[in-house]
Amino acid sequence: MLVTTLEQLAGYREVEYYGVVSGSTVRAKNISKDIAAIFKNIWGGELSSYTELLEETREQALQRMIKQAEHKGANAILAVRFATSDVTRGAAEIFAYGTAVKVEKHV
Amino acid sequence: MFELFVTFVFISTGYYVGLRRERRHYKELLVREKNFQNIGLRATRRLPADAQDTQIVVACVVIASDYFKNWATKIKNMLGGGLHSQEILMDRARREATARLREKAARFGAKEVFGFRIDTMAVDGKGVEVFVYGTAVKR
Repeated sequence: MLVTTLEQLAGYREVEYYGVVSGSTVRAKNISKDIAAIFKNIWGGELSSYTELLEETREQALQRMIKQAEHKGANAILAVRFATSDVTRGAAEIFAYGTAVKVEKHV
Repeated sequence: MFELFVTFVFISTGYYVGLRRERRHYKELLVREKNFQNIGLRATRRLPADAQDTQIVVACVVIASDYFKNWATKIKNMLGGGLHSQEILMDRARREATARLREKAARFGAKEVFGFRIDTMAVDGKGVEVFVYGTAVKR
């Protein structure tokens, strides 16, 4: 599955259009990773456990979007965008969406 | 009385340690930005005619604000005006996320990232999360 945030893919042309596909995940943080966060709240700095959580959440949202596109018969997703939000304390939602199409190589 | 003392300790630890960590982070950022300054970022979406291969690249970072900044912000919120400490926090987070994005694009072998987007989110009022993404393009 080819995924891009642009409206075109290099060397391919669009042959069929399947509409907007999306994937979203909400994940809660693991409490045991929180000890470092208590210190970070005093002197600041990167909360690496939160960053990891966000990265995993984003990967899963992307995979869900890709699965939806595969189900429709697409082989590429164009104009991908992300939307993030704080659902509740210690939980993050990432929503990925894009346009599913079928592309083939330029002759 | 004891609580006041503990709060004072937290605030001063936050100020001194926080400031040192912030300065160290900025120094580190300058080095990384210099190393990857050849990777161009564009918010535009048109692919160049000589593009060979593209790949989506995403980077994110969550930065917590220190105890002193949080306390100073609470006071400033009542008085009104610019929140310079929050501006610094946002700047740090944006630059860190962008530096990571550039590193990922370089690993892919690209010199440019097109369709650059930034998404920002507050974390519990005690920090900020910046999410940047785009498409790395190999010409």
